[in-house]
Amino acid sequence: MNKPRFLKKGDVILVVAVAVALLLFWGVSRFLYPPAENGVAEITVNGKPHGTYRLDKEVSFTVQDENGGYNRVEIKNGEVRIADADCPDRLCVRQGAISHKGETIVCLPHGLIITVCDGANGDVDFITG
Amino acid sequence: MAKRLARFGLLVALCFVFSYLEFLLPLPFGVPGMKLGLSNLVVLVALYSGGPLTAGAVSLVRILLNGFTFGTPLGMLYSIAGGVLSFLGMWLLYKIRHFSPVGVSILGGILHNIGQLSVAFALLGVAGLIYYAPILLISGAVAGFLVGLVASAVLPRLKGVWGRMG
Ligand SMILES: [Zn+2]
Repeated sequence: MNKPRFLKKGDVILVVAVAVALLLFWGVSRFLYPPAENGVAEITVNGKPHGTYRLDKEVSFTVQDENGGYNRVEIKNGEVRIADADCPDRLCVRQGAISHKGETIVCLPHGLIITVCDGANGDVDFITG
Repeated sequence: MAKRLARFGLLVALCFVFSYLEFLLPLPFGVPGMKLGLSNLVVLVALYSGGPLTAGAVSLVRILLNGFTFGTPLGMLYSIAGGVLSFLGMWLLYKIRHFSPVGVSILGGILHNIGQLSVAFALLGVAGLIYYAPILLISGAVAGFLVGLVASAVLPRLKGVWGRMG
């Protein structure tokens, strides 16, 4: 009997294609996203602005979404990350810390997006939160 | 025909059980893509043991079940986009024949996530969402790979089950 092979040629091609796509993406994103100047983290929830936070000040706070879900945002060492969240996939936590201009952390279940942008010359102390 | 219907019934029942399991066990430590895994396994098994029609019908059941567990109309939209794209992709690779269940499942996992990302892109309209793509690609591929392994182990044994059923 002709037993079906465990891995076929197509499988290997598929995996290689995915790996190449990832590498390309990584390379392009390094190129596209230079370090931010006086970087700030802009946070939106479901498309609405939630607040802007300087990356050079250590802070940790919780963002609630409309359905009672939360994301705990942490700014440390000039980077911003989601330290904890109660979304089902927790992919936002796995995306790690970002600090380069244009980089984004997304929590799809909560509609929360964090984007790193250039700040305004560094003499703005008060930033909405 | 009766045989086909019996198989379909069994697969749908499995779909219900897996969806309920996923609902009961939200996996707090967040294994990536785990949520998609169990019900995609049923679609994959349906594809190889019942053909595209059965798999399509099981997909539909899965989309509805997943959509309802989300509990919002938006959730249903995510579920439809992920489920339909994933099924179409798996069907295509299945027809091409140069892929094993593992490869078919990997593409299914990836497309499931890409479908959901596309909906998010359309709804939120944020260009930065593209940055989310790599992690979705990886988590979809890993989940698909694991599901494919399980399916490869289950499928030969299922032949005996189907045989005894009719
Ligand atoms: Zn999240």
